[in-house]
Amino acid sequence: MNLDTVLAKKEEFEKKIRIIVNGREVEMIIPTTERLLDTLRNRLGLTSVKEGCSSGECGACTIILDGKAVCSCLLHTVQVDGSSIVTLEGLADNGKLHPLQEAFIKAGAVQCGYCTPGMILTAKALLDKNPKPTEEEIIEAISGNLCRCTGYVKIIEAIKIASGAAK
Amino acid sequence: MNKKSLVYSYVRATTIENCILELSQGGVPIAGGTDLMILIRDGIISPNKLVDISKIKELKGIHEENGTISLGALTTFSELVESKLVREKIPVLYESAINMGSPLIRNVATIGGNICNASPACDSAPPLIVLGAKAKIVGNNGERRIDVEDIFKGVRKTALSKDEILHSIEVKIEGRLGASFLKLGKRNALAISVISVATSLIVENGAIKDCKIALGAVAPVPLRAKKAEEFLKGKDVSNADKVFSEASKIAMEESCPITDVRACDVYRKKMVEVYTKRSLLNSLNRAAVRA
Repeated sequence: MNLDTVLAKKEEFEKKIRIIVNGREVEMIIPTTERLLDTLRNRLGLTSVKEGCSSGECGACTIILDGKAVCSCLLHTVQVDGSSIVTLEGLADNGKLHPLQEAFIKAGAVQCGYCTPGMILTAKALLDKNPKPTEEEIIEAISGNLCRCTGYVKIIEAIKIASGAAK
Repeated sequence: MNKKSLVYSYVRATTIENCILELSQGGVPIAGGTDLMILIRDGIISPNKLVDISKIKELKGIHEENGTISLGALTTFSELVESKLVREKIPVLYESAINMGSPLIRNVATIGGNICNASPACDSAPPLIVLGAKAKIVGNNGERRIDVEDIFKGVRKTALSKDEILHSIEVKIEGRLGASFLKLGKRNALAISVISVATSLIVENGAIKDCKIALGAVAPVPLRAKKAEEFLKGKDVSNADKVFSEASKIAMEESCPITDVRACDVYRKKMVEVYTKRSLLNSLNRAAVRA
């Protein structure tokens, strides 16, 4: 499509959307092609959402969408109109860290930190649904979140701590 | 990381009628979008308009009625994995669903999208083919049913016309059938199939009454190993190891894989033989339990 056609029908290429992000309702006009990852980072300043592989293989851009952990790089923002989103910024309560964040610190599950936001959100979605997961269930749940530093042992330990299965 | 700056509009369809109208005007359907986003970014597909079908209620849900399980096209892989009905009645589909992508992808990706993208490495096709599943397709000219196998016409090509959508997949439950799915990837999690194999068997009076073998990622479309199936029909199962070895060799000859980044053609062919035999043995064990 050439530029003139696009400009003539500009309103077709933008949509007004309303979403709830970390408990706060947000209304925005968004280009139809924009990825949710870019909206969260560039428009809302939620830079805990990381861009890694941009193709759904690394999990760095994980968010919780209507209770489910998903990759924000594989969604158009317009697709999630009407949905509720949680990013890492939405976990702490008035400056008090979420039990999963505390557990990641306690277990030493953070090295470079790039995978950590996605890892914690995947773990949160797991524990919200299954508060006492087995080690196998934890490993399966985080299998879409790659970490190149820790070797995963301490991450699994941290999730166990948060679930009350380890100290 | 957008390689091309593409422009396209977006509309959310709320009913099937509304969706078909949009599609007949040139819209491209999007459900989970996990494959489509990448195809658009890489310039393989350049839509003018996306039609979001993900909110159409009629395309959702897993139901059982009169011995047939119906899977709505929008059923996500997570829903397949979590469904007691799927796990108990069609475990072969569970096996393929649990091996598809990662949990993050499975939460979004749909079975309808997996089929309609018609990737040669489509993981849900081989199990559905050996189950003899039917696809219910709706469009401007009403609805029609075809075998899932007949949907695939080439790499990213399907039998659906522009104004049609996949409504649901219907699997008739055959109590005596034993089926299994095996996938070879580069690693356990999040791997695209190097090859995949699904087989199904029905055994009657100690002989193979019916048999289906479907291979993934070894041809432009999911492939039925029909010569191997014919060879197996009527064979005595007390001699299973030997006849399965021979059938697996025939299946290997029928496959025509390519060499790509994941594996070379020679290795793929050899693995077809190995995995077909393993899958047949699994299917036989399951058929024996059910007989």
